[in-house]
Amino acid sequence: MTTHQTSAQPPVTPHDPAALHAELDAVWRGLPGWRGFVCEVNHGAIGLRFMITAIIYFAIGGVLAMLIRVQLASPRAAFVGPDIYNQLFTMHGTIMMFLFAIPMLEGLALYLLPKVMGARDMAYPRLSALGWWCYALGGAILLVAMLAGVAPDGGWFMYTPLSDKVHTPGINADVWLLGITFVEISAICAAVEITVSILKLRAEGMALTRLPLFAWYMLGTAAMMLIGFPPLILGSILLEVQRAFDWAFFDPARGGDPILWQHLFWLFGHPEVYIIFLPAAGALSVMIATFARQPIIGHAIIVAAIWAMVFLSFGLWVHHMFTIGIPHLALAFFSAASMLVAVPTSVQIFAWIGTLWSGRPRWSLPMLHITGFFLTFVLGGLTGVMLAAVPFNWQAHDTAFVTAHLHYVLIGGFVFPMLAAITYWMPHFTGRRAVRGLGSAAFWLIFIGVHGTFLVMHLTGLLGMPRRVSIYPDNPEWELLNLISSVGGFIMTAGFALFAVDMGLQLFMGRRTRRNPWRATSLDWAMRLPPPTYNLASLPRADMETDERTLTPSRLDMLATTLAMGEGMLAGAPRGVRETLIIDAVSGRAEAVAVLPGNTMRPALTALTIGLFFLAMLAGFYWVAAAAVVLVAAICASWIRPVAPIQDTTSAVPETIEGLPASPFCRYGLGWWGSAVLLVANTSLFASLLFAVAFLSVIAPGWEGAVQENPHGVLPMAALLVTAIGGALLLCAGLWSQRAATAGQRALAWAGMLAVAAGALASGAMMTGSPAEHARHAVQAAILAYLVIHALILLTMHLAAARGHRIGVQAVATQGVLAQWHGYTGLVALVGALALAVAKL
Amino acid sequence: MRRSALTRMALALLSGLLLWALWFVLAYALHGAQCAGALGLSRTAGQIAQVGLWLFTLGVIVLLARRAARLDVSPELARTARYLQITAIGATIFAGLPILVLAPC
Repeated sequence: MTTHQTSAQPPVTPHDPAALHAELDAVWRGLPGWRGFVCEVNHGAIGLRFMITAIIYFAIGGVLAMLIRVQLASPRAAFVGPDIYNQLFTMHGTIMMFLFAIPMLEGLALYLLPKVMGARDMAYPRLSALGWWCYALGGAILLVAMLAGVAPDGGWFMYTPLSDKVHTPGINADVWLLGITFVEISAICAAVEITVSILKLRAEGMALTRLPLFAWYMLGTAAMMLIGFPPLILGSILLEVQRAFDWAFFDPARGGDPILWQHLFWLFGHPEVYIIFLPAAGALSVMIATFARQPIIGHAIIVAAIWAMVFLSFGLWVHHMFTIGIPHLALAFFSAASMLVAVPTSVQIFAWIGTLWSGRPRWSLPMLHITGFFLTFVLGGLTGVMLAAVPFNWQAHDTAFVTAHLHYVLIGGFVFPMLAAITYWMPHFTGRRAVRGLGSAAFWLIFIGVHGTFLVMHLTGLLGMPRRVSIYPDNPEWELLNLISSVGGFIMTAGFALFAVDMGLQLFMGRRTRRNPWRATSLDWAMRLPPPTYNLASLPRADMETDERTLTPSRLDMLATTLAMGEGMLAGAPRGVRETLIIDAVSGRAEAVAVLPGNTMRPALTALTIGLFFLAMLAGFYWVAAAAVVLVAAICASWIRPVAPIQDTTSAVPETIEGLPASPFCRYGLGWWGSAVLLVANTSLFASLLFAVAFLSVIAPGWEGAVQENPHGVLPMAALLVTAIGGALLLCAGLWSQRAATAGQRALAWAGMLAVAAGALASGAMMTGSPAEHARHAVQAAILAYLVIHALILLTMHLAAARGHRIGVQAVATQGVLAQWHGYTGLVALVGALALAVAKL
Repeated sequence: MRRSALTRMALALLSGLLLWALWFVLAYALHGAQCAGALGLSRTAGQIAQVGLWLFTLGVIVLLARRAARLDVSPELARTARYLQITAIGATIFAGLPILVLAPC
């Protein structure tokens, strides 16, 4: 299925630019027609797809918001009934958070990162494509459900017990849980992709100290996604399992606790705000430097602020739960952390203001949107500090004040920066300049509309109007304010429509633009517009200036010409494969050449099969779902096929390209890095599971109920001991198998896998009750299932690696990855067995 | 060798905030367990444990910050590391102050 595109032309000299570009184009271009749509993996095309799809969802979410505003414009409106209204606000929040904001940032990152770092593509092009397909199909499930009238209706945070089977008996909540989990696969794919690409695929000589600020921001974002998304994925799985099989995780009558859902949701939900803000801030840093005509001041302190936000934002989640009856000291912890996070945020704001103050700002259209960002986001930040204060939070909780605050933060912190980014990078996407006139009018309509809608909404909230009510017949004091908000909403919508028209005019009627229309200094403008699929005909060498802080527009133009002439590294594509450079993460020294996969339909097939799994779960066809899992594993295992002929060698002597080894011959190649980063997300998921066990066993009111503790007899303890021994064996195999697979190491790994699976299955068989009976058994079964699944994953990896070795994949490429998974599975088996023993499960 | 350079740099940058995060989780867990009566600690003992954990964490972060200042990283990364260590110390002090003035449960 993989299409190896090879050039029929003879190798060219690096100083023949036209032939050089033709050669690259032959290797990198997509396929024609529908096959091109299905098989595309290039970062530029996939990034644009993400952004276009996200904008379509934004428009849909916006229409839903207008329907809400129509309903609220008068106190007794009968425009929609309460059931539809519940679906409207749930889908509006869900679409804007999960189907617009996160995919939009993923798209921007996928499109821009290789360009700003002087690379030709992201580290895992097939993973980018898989991410988009999962996003598109997961979003489609939600949309179809909405059109069918069975959209989720429990609010975008889907609190239990409202979302359990008793209170939401239809499939509305299942649609949310399964659809969002499907979409989140895309987010995890993007996080792995972004992290490894930033660390390993940069221009030679681009040391970490010379990393563009946009890449720093995206690195922080990706780290947050890796830690922040798994708790929600776990929560969604547990809630769906409760709904489908009646396991008792969130049912207080059976030892569970609905508050556990709130913890898992907000462990994701609050960092989510910063996951959305950081990429926007990265784009702002790029644009402000360009329009101020000077580098951003305080580069080091901004990098520090990014990482401070990454950490501090994980200490705020409970401020969404201040009213659930938490002791004062805990409230104070989270209140303090909530206030603290304002400090690094402010540092960035002041750095941007300082840059504009000390520079020579040009007031182009993107700067208008940036001004909108400053005014709106700062106001949202201030009300955020108000909400961080516990007494105020208690008064304002669940009122329209909170709705107003979050819209100020999200529109200020993400929508205005994205509007600025779209206008700024539109010449990059299209190769065309803006058509003058409409853009400013669109901005003013949006700006007036946003403040018209949400400024007065603060007051509505302070007057006591709760969120999510569809009528308010007994409160005439809210009437005028709601009418103003509704009028503001429609003005805002008119502004967005005008913005879309403006972009359409630019796309179809804009004049062709030259290479660097904004006179920027970042590498993304060192290529022709719109950029070719391979970005650069040759990649920057260590002796070329690539630092956005020291480059000037004229020097960037000279660099662009040099690279287009093929005077950098990896000029052209003489080997007929897609190549980019792998560097040392810290020093930027060239380490190897990555051979990247070409067009393939495997990502689309994988996503379709995952979609089949989710649809089967939704319909209750669990055997079909199980078959889909097997199919997904089989397709994933087929991804190990060599991506290019260069890997089809069993030679012990590594092939070299420009003196560098090809990536399959590297001990720490891209596979090793991707797997390591994925394990970070996996660790976060397992830690969330342990948190669930600890929370329920300590806090859940019905935990010590009628159910009998496991007796801890000889046999159950023996089963746990076997699991632990299996874990220890796998750990040893992991440590042993860092370099090469030996027969002894393989035997150790197989023994470990079998012991973990057998021990976990035996423990499950000896449980004293069913998971539907009590939360104690439910969490025990969840941990055991986690261990068995990991043993099965290891088994699949072993089979795939064995097949890979037969078809020519270098052992060194798979050995390191296997070692990581041996070690990880061993560790979780040990910790899991210990947790089960200690918690007397 | 190369991995250790990355590890060294990551530790220089993030060790303080990692410790802050660890302390935050432990303090919240200890507090939750104490209030649920899971540890059998008296109010005073719980408060002493919290203060002790807080001071211990603060001490370790300060020590790590001093060590990080001596690590062999580029001047710019060293400056960033310094800002981050100061942030970690400030965050630990600020978020921990309530332990001194509020009743645990």
